[in-house]
Amino acid sequence: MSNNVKAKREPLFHIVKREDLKIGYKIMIYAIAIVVSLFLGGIMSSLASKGDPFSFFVSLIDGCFGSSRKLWVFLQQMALILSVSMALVPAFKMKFWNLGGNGQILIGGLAAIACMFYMGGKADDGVIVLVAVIASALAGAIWALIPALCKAFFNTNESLLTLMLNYIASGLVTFFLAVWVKSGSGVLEPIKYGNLPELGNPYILIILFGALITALMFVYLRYSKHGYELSVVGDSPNTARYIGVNVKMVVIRTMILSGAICGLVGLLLTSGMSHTIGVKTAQNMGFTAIMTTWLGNCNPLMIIATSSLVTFVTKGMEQVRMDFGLTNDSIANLIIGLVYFFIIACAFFIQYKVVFNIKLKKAVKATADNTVVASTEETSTEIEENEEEVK
Amino acid sequence: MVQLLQSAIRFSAVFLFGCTGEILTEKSGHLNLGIPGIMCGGTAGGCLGVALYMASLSDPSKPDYFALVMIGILMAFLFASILGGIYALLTVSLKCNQNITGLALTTFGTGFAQFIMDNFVERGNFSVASTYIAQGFPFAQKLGWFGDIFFSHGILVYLAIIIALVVSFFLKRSKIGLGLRAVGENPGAADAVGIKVDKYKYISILVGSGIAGLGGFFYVMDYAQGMYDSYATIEAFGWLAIALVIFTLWRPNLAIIGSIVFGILYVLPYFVGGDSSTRSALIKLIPYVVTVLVLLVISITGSKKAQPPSALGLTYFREER
Amino acid sequence: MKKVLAIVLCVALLATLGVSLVACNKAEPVAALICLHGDNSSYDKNFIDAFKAACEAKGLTEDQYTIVVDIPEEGNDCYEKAAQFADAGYKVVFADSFGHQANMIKAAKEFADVQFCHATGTGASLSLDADASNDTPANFHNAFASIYEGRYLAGVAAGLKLIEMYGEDITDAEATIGYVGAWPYAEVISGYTSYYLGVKSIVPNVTMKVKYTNSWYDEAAEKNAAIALINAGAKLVSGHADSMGVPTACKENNIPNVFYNGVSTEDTFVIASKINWQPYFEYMLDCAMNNKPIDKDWTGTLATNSVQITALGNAAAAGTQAKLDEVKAKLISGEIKVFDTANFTVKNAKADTSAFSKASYITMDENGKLLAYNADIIDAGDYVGETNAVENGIFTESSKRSAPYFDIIIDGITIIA
Repeated sequence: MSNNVKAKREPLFHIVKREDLKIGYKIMIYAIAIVVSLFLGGIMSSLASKGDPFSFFVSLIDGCFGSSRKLWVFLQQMALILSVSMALVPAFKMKFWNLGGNGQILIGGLAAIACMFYMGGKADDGVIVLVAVIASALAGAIWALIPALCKAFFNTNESLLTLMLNYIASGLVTFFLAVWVKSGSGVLEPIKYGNLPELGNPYILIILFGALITALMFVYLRYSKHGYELSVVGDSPNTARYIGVNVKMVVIRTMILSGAICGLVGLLLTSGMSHTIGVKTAQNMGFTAIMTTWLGNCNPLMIIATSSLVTFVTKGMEQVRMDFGLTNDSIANLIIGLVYFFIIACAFFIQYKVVFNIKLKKAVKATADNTVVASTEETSTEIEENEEEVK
Repeated sequence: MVQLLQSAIRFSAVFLFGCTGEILTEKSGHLNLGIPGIMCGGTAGGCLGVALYMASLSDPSKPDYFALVMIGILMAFLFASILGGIYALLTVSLKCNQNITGLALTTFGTGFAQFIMDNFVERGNFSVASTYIAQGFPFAQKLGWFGDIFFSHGILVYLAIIIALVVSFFLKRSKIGLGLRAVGENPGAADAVGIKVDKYKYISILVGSGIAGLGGFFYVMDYAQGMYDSYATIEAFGWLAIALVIFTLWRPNLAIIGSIVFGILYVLPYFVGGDSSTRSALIKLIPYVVTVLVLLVISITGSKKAQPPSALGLTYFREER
Repeated sequence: MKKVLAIVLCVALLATLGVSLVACNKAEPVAALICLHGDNSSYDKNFIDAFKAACEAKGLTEDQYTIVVDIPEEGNDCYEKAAQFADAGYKVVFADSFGHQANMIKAAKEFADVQFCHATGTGASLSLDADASNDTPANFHNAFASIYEGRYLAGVAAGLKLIEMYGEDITDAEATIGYVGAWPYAEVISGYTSYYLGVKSIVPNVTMKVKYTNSWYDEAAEKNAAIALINAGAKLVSGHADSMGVPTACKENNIPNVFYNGVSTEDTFVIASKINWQPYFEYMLDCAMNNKPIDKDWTGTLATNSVQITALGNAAAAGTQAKLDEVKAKLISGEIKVFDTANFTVKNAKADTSAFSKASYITMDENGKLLAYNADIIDAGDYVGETNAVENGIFTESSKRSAPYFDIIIDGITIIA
């Protein structure tokens, strides 16, 4: 504690890391943040149109749960975001900033559609599906492997590389659409071959996939050797090397996994849902998943919560737009961004405590070289504040 | 060919503003992925300023050139800085993760910009305003192709170049610039020497964001002649500007050349373009493929000078020093 | 802690209450509009404005109709939204973009009691062949308009402008115009060909250069394409894409501009053509509300006021309005036919050997006049032309199906790279 040496330039407050809060507190803080941000959102929407904050909330809930179809769509969308988040979790835990989710999803979808397009009608549907599964996972894996190799061997900045690959994937989709759609309209009609089977209703397959991939990732991270190695590399590559972990291998292996999962999501979106492909097929999930993964602290269970929240706000805002007669999406982005900000700020208040050291300043002024007294004063200030906080 | 260069240089101003702003921010150790949203914010602010000014004129067909440009620039800078301020607050004071905050800001910023544009900005007079803002030196046409390429651009293009040069000088030669660079490389050491790390970060983020915002304003008012439809185009430029920062090795001087190169690459498909959809789809990929190649080359050669500030993306905690 | 819990619970209770209240109070919904983008796209704004006007004209209250925007063509969003509307009891759902068709058909199959209408689509054409099994459902309908008439009129205005600029003895080099097209397919090709024929009726030696952007909305691409056309010698530029890229380029280069779907106060603006969807929407609402069947494939015309030309801009030549009124009357009466095969030749198309050549579908005489053409009218996804569209020396555009099917590059038009 060398603060008092520079006491003259101390700020009004400083920040101290908290000890772990009880889970209940954490949830409470998050809940308050979410409600407040949504309330602000409601006010903004009302200002911009004919509604009011109360019906804002009603519309939000109606949009996600208002009918059984809406509920299915909500769960399906949530499962998709969750799956992409699961792809990003191992990468992020390794501090490898995979911003290329969109591109990996898209390239996986493209591979799947290519199988459906070229093999359709010529091979059995089951065979097409099997080939598509492998092709999409492989395509996504390769798309993630490129930045992984560059990072591992040349220390290339992965954020930028993955971002650029997004654009390139999008361009490839445009290229293939130009090749396949001979009428020149750029719109590929749904392909009826090689579609993933519907289990009862069109949504269940995706929801099951989401649940499965979450469970698998949870186990992988927590109980497997890979998972352990992954987090060590993330914490400190040097430590990892010291204990004998081949960092390059871990990076490459993890990114193959990350890309493969994204590729499979691409398969779901194409073969399992729309049966066609376009540049917007990935619905920007690569970026949304970055938010949910990070906000969920790279913890699969928490990510279930964050994915649900993000899906809730997004789908709810669609309903709000309809009900409030808003004919463009500016408000939606505004409010979603606002919710993000609040949650991000939340994380700060959970991890850190703001301590005002007015008392400290006075104490130090009075006894310039009485360091022991000063330290004690500060500690007692903290203890007092702690007690107040707990109440 | 002349048209290509002229178009490219004009277009490059968008990238140059964004790139210079982001370089300034990154020199302080903060990777601001919110630049796309901030550029949109600058667009909205600048357009708002222009709209208000034009509305206050008794004769909207003859605005005062100096006032028009200044109001536009100041408002654009202001709005962009405010958005940058949100980023700064969250990442410097509240120690939040920079990537996430940046991405959240992009989402928020684009919505915010569209909101302002739709509800508060009266666009009726934009056509006149943009003609003024985009006009080049009067003698440009007399100089033929030379004039076209170098002197026919609006004031904002030259401003972008000037700002890049000023920032470059500031970073390399001034004492404050040195301090800023120190903050970006090793904030702990900078703090120990007495530099107020947080203050430096705040200022560089605010100023950097403001500069980037001018890029969006330029695009709408100059390049697009006041016709603004959607934020999506500007958002895409933001991402390319961030890529450009690496492309130009964090040096604003190189950014001038880099943005022109980027401008050429970006505009090239429209001049060369395939007569078939397939060829044009491939040609549009050129800017991105080239960027990837440059990224690879830079990292393979692993030159010391080409590295980002060492503390880029890392949050600085004084107490953990 | 407890206080917070209490508040949260209260909010949840109120919310549930609210939902049920809302569900009770809603009036019977009638019509829903699904848009590709929002009202910042001139294309969608056209639909949105017409829809609102039509609903009000039919006496619907605000909670009886809904507009939802930003529904992309990819994915299942369009289907989900259409299905949700059907669930909520809407009687008719309309989608405005070509790529929405598959999803709308899917929804139509599932909700036989709800009407699903779609603009620019070709699904209705499947009912034209003998095979009934591939027909689209009876509650799925397509609609469009004979916009080629509007474009022809716009072309006439453009031609008059050229004469005003260069005089009656306009040279071949001066009689060059440009057109920025989105995608190289029938809807766009039909559009620029009819526009070209309109110009040609005033300036017989006119040639047109076309450049594609391969996107419905890409400002920079459209602007740069226009600049490229101007550099290639175009003295007047028109376009068919949803952003303001082309008008911007025209303004900067002081080149007159003919537009689509939007109006402009620029000094370079001549005229624009557009489709007025209000007649169709009113017809559609009328049928839906009174349980009358909607036409499988509906084509609006100048006569139904579905095709319109805007007021003339500052750049229009003197005397244009009078000439346009005269031509418009002749189009309505049938005296002028836009795609009269006597007015164009197809030698280049017949000689085309590229992969996308239409040569095999063309039958022409020794002078290059089109005698017969197998257009891909029945859109079965095979991209093969099968139905002859030429009757009595006229290419009968929009008569066999509402979505255009003229996709020949006639002589006088060149695609530039």
